[in-house]
Amino acid sequence: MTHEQSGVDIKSGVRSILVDALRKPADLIKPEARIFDDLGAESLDLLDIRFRIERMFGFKIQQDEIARSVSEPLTAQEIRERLTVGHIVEFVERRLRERADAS
Amino acid sequence: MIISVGVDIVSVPKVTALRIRHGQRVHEAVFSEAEAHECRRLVDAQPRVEDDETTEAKYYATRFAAKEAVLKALRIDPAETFEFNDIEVLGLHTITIILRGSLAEKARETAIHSFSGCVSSAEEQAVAFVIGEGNHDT
Repeated sequence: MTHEQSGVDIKSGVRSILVDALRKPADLIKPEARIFDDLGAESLDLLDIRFRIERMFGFKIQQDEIARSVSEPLTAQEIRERLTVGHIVEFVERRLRERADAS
Repeated sequence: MIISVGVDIVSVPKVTALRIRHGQRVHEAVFSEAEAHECRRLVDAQPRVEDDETTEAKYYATRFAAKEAVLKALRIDPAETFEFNDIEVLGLHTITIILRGSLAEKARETAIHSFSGCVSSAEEQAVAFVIGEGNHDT
């Protein structure tokens, strides 16, 4: 079921995905929380998050897209240190805006 | 000569959970058809020392560990464009690694002619070690 079908808003949808994928309490899933350093994600978790977002929001994501949502060109280590919940929410919002603009 | 090395360890139950939860999408994005075929052949051929699910779980977890190890050896940033199934890992203990797309190009740029490696697994963990070999003069 996509977020449109279920009526889930983007922030709540991303939060529920992160709670389920990372097995963390919802109160830790704050916009500034870092996915790897604060929430303990591994690369496998990022794949899980990617596929859950695809299913909930109804679009496909390339392997590198979520990491690139940290807008500056960064090394792998810097991305691990900086990728936050807020980046993922912004990424989903942007992709949904692009889809709405294209239709 | 050895140009680079990579190593990775993954949780076997986590890889299994990912495959169960996302089914075909995982196989489309992460594993190749040849890997799926080799796994089916292994399940069909194995003596029954462990159940099919355990054999499959260890097979795919070692593939994933090897793919991550190759990415480390190539020093790939997560923001670079690639898919996991651009890395094909065949073989059960000693592995053959085939690169496609941008990852094959990256290997050429770093003067790596070939990768070799080995994988191992237990109930909970799968580990892979890979070596990128080449010649800096070419």
